[in-house]
Amino acid sequence: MDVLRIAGILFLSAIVALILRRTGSPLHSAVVCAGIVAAVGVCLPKIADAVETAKMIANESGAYRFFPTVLKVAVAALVCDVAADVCSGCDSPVLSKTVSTVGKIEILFIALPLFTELYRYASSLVSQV
Amino acid sequence: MRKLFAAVITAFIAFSLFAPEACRAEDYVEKYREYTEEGRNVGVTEFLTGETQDGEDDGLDSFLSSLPKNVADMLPDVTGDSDPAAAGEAFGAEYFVGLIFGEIGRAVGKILPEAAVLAAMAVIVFIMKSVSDGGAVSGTAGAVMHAAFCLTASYAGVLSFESVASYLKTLASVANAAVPLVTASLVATGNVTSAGVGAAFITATSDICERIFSGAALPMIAASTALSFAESVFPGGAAVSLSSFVRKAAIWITVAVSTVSSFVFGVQSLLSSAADTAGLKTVKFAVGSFVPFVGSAVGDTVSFIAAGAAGVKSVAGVVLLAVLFALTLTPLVTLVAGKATLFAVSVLCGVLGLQRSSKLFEDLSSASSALIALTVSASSVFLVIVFAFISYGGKI
Repeated sequence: MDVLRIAGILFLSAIVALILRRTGSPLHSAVVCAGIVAAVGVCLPKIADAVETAKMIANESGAYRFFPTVLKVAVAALVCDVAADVCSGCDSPVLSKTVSTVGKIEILFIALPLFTELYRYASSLVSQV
Repeated sequence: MRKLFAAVITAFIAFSLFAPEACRAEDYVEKYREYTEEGRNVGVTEFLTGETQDGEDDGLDSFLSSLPKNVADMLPDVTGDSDPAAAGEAFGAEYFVGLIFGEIGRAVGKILPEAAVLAAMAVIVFIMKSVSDGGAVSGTAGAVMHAAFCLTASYAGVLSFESVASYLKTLASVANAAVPLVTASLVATGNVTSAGVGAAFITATSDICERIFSGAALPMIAASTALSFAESVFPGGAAVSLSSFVRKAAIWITVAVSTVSSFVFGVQSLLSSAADTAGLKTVKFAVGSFVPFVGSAVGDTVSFIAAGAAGVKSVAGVVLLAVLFALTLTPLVTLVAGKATLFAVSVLCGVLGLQRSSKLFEDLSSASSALIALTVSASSVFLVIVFAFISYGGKI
C-alpha cells in the first residue's frame, strides 16, 4: 500500500535526519528534503488519478467551464505547500514564508478573471431588474 | 394590540394609495349617468375610454386577443360565443392536470442538466480541495475554488429573475386587459357603480402592485442574492447577514402590498350589497397576515380564493382563472424546481464538508423562496381583484 510506503519513507527520513543532527552533520536538512520529495513522488500517480476522475466528471456533466482554473489553483497550492515544507525542512522559515506568499499571489493572479466575472455577475444582478 | 395596530396602519396605507382612484371611480359613474340620460347604449370600451366603437364587444374576445402568445397557446380554443358547458368541459380537470404535468416535465427537463453541473462542481471542488489541503496556501486556494463554484451557480440559471420580472409585467398587462371583461359583466347586470369603482380599482391596484413588486421587492431580492455571493466569497464574520436582512425586508414588502390590496377589495366587497364570506376572509387576511410570514399569507389567500371560486358562473370567469393559472404556472414550477435543486446542492455540499458553499446555496434557496412568495403574492392580488368583483355582484 502506498500509504505504508509513504509513512515508511517519512519515518526513515525523520530518524536519519535526527541521527545526522545529533552527530552535527550538515546533511540532515538534505535528508528531510529528500524524504518530502520521495513521499510526494509516491503520491503523484494517486494525485494524477484524482485529477483524471475530476476531469472525467467535469467533461461528462458539463461543468468544465471553470475546471482548468480550479485545477491550476489546486496544482499551484500543492506545489507551493510542498516547496514551503522543503524550505522549512532546510531550516529556512523565511524562504518557506516567501514561497507561501508567492504561491498566494500566483493563485490570486490565476483567479483574477474569476473575481472580475463574479463582480460583473453581481452588478448585472442588481442592475437587470 | 399589535394586530390592531397593524390593521390600522394597513387601512391607512390602503386608503392613502387608493383614495385618488376612488375619485376616478366617481368620474366613471358620473360619465355613465350622463350617457344613460342621453339615451345612448354604452359599450365597455366607450364606458372606460369615452371612445365610440363599432360592433358588439363582450370583452372576452378582445381580452383573449390581448394575451401574450405563450399564454394564449396554453389555452383551449374558447371565444366569447362559446357555450358555457362546452367551455367548462374544455377547462376541465384533464386540461389543468395536463398543463401542470407538462410544465413540471418541462421544468424538470430544463433544471436536471443544471443540477448535474452543480453537483459535479461540488464533487470537483471537494476532490481538488482534498488534493491541495493542509498547507499555508490551501486557504487561498479554497477561496478561489469556492469563487469558481459561485460562478458555476450563477451560470446555472436556477434563479431566474428575468422570468419573474417578465411575469410581473405580463400579469399587470393581463389585469389591465381584464378591466373591459369584468366591467362588461357588471354593466350588463346593471351594477354600474360597482363597474365604475371596480374598473378604477383594478387599474390602480395592478399598476401600484406591479410598480412595488417590480420596482422594489424584486430588485431587493436580486440585491440580497448579490450580497449573498459577496458575503460568501469575502466572509467578514459579521454577526448579522445583510443579505438576509434585505431578503426579509423584500418579503415583508411583498406581503404588506398583497395585504393592503386585499384589504381594500375586502372593504369594498363588505360595503357592496353582495358582501359574503369572501369579504370577511379578506379582513382576516389583512389582520392575521401583516407579519411577514409567507406561509400564513398564502394559506389565507387560498381560503379567500376558495370562497370566491364558487361564484364563477360564466365562460369569461373560467377563462380569467385559466389565464392566471397558465400565466403563473410556468414561473412558479420553474422556481420551485430551482429551489429544490439549490436545496439539494446545499445538502450535498454539507455532506462533502464544503460548509461555505453549503451556506451560499442555503442563501440562494432562501432567495428562491422569496421569488416564489413574490410570484404567489402577485397572482393572489389578481385573484383577489377578480373575486372581489364577484362579490360586487358581477357574473364573471
